[in-house]
Amino acid sequence: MASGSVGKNGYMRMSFARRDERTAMIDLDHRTPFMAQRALYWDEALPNMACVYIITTSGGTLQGDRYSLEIDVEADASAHITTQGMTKVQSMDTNYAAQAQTFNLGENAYLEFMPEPIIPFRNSRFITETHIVRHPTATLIYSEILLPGRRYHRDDEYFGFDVFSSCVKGFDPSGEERFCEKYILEPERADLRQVGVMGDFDVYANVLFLTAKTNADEVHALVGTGFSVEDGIAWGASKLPNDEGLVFKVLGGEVKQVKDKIRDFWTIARKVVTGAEVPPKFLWR
Amino acid sequence: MIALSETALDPAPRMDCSAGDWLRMLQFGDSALPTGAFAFSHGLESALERRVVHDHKTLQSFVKTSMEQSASGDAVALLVAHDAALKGRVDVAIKADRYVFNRKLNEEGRVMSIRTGKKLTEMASRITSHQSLQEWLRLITTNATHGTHPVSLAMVFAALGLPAQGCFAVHQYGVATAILSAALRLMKIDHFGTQAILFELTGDIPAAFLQSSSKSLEDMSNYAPVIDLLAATHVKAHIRMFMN
Repeated sequence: MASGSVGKNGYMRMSFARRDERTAMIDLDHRTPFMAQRALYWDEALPNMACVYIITTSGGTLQGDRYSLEIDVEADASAHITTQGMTKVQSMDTNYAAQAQTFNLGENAYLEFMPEPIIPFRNSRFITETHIVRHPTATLIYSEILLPGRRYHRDDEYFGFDVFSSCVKGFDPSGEERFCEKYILEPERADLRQVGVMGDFDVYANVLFLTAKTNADEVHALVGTGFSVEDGIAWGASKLPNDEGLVFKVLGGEVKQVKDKIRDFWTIARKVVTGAEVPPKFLWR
Repeated sequence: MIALSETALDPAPRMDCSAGDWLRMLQFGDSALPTGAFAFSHGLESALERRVVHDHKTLQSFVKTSMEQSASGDAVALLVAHDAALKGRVDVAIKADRYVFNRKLNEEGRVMSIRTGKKLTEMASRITSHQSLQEWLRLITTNATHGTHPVSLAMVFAALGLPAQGCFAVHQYGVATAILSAALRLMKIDHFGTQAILFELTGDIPAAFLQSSSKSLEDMSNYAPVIDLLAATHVKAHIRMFMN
């Protein structure tokens, strides 16, 4: 498919605002392959929170794709956003795929952005840049799970992608940078199996918990850490610079193990910030 | 894809230095320099406890990772700050300092960097009585800047008129020796073993200099999740000999 043709430049913009008790989706604009339907209110512990699935109608991210996602959560509003399935970044022989994400969180806003994992296929090239502008009273739980490639595929599939580049920057409302996490993975150039990088772990997850210092300190005290080479799982939280919150990392061999750890962290973080429990697990996810 | 190190036998330009310059670089690159760096093992203590590092080979791989992380992150800011200091652009050095601080997502890493950076600046400004270092120290003590270690080292080298490549080399060497001297105290390895690792890995420094010096502050990047998690578990450990 030629650059710039339908489906190559995906775009999605969503805004949420508080209307009486409930959070309403007050703006939704999207261009193929992105889609979203109306906000639903299925979370029984937080019945006023807008829950939205981002749907992609294509078979994955292809070379030449340029995606843009903008999410605004206005003062006192709350939302939970996830994706319908894993994001597959397809193999490439020319060009690359790029994604830009912007989050704006107003006073006392609360957003859980927890998409399904990303799978970079062999020879894929993906660059993503995320900007988060957050009022100091707002909370964001932002998770990402990166798989090494397709499972049960072929021997050179794991860490067989060409480039996976990610940059997440946090800003305060005046535009001052508060933290930045940037990594560029090029397995051909730098071995990801090296001691201290991924070692024998396959799945990498990162959860940013941006919130007021009191919340972060409370969660940090409650979150455990563990590191077991035998069980193939490691997890732990660190305090971000400038009292921006926490970063919670998980390394594992299986997606399920990693998701369970994220769920444990999410349970603690949501409880501390909102007082609510997380919903029961979906049967099929 | 051709790595830079394969394009030339001696990739980095030769440094033209007097013996006096060499001695200054030796002094500030010495692992015995009292900056308090000896209190940190750069995650090695946890790595041994969790059996991530357990012999010569895994130790060498661990040190290599730490040096590569330094080259793609801290050392980029070090080179930018060195250049800025030579041009009298303290504002750019402060910006580089903020970039280092904002990209250290582990609390222990931040604490170590600003503690040793401040110690280094205090000592260098006292023994050299160089005005630009006294000014840098004033900026640190008034919280106008963080005073991270790589940027403070760059300020010292620039003040003494020492070359960027030497500053980079000393910084990378310092990362390696800090871990290796902790290794001598923590694990079953002798001086021959650690010196062999040091000799081999410092051979990568000239090529790493070329790569790091081609980067801007926006290019600074890091990816060592195992080391990050070892640091996170270390914070909560009951028994520890090192700060990190």
